[in-house]
Amino acid sequence: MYNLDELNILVMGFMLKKRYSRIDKGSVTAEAALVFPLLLAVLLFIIEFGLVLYLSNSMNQIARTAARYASVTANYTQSGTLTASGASSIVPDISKLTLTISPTPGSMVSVGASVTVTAQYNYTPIVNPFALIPQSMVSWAPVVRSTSVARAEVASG
Amino acid sequence: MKKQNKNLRNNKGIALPLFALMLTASLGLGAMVIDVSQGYALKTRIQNAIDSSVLAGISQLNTNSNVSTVKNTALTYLNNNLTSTIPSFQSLALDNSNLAIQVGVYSSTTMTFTQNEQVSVANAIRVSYTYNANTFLAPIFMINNIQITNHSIAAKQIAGYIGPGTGFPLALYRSALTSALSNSNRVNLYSGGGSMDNSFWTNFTSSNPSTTDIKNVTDYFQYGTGTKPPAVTVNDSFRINDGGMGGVFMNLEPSILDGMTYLFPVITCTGGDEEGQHGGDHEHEDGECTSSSSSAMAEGFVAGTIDDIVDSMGDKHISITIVPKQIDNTYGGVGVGPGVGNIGTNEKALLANSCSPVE
Repeated sequence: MYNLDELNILVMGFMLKKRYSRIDKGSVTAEAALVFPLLLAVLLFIIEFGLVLYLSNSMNQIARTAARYASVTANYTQSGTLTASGASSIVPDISKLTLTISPTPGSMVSVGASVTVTAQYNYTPIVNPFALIPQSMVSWAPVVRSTSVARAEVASG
Repeated sequence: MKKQNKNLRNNKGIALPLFALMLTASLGLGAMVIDVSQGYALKTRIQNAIDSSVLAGISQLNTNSNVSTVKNTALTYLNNNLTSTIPSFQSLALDNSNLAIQVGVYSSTTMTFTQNEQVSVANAIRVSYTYNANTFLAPIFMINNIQITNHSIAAKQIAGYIGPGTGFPLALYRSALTSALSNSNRVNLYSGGGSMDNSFWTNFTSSNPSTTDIKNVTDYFQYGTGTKPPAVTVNDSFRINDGGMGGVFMNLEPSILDGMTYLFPVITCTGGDEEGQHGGDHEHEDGECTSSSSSAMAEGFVAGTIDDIVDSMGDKHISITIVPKQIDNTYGGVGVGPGVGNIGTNEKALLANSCSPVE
């Protein structure tokens, strides 16, 4: 036999069960609303990761071509090396690319010396995937960099 | 109704194992994508490092006959490039079991490399390297590393070909190389008289070149206008005209040409005086043409820097300093053709080289 309190609990439990059964009907939408930003963040991260990987390979290519050009060009210049690297047709925004050449253009370079070129791209994500995750404070702006070293085959300076 | 309820009860809890399976598959796929793409990116970077290494090695071989020095140069550039490519990379030594740096002979006919460290015949360098890259997520599937193997070969050969637009219309006698060897690689050419070597102009065709014909070609080099000279291969014949063409010098612009480096054909005379001034064969023992209009054959190509063009009151001459073993990558247009023509062993050292990766 149940006492009054116990009956009350049973009745309340039954009512709650019925109420939640009704609420279940909209749960898919609600859960989807919660999961959607996370899925979108994952999707965006995949896109951004792909772009960064592309830029990484591009920096490698640019650094290599630029180093080769500088190593076989007497009195190479900054603009000439940049043009020869083909960077303008590779990277999305040439103003974000920095080409560091060592020895600096105009310096004396002897045959057999090393010419080092570092290509660096300051990438700004189209959409920061981390911003879609609630409470995330991660700011994501990767710097993609690659260095190539070549042997100078002509003298400069 | 009862059956349906039973089925509904059976469906309960199916989402969890399904999710677990999907998660495992997704993670596995993600691991493969990340690790494989990382592996390919690394393979490209290692290939670039090896390419830089063989290029450094072959350029060293071009000027230095010490095999050990050549190998160490290739090793240094491999290490320098890999250090900037692979995090925490440990520099390699020549005796590393994953590395092979070989000096040898490359045959452009069979396109094969044969190890041969005799400096008198060596013309190529081969670098092979195997790197074991640690994986990031693939260890889930017990794949702890990926083996990446790359190799590259670079070879040098005396140029037998210059591409269209690269041959300067001034031909050098084969004998001019001999005098250059005893004159700090300098060639002095004149027009009209003097004790220097005569200058021979050409537009690389079988027709007798006139002053206008030559001007058209020199304009191409000076102003980018005029006539682009055709490609020339060793053993090709064309007509030349000699120092009597003082008018050519009038069209040269020293402020543009001085200090510029071009590729010049090295010729030997094959006779063929149309005007019949001398008749018969006009080839001197040293290969000079004596008539004002003769046929010449390309024996090779040499790079030279124009030092000075003097054109004043009958004193017309041009001095050129040969850049020995100049490689194609600097000025372009030089390639391996049928091989060097009839040029002495010592003089061959001055000829332009083709020096590039071949595999």
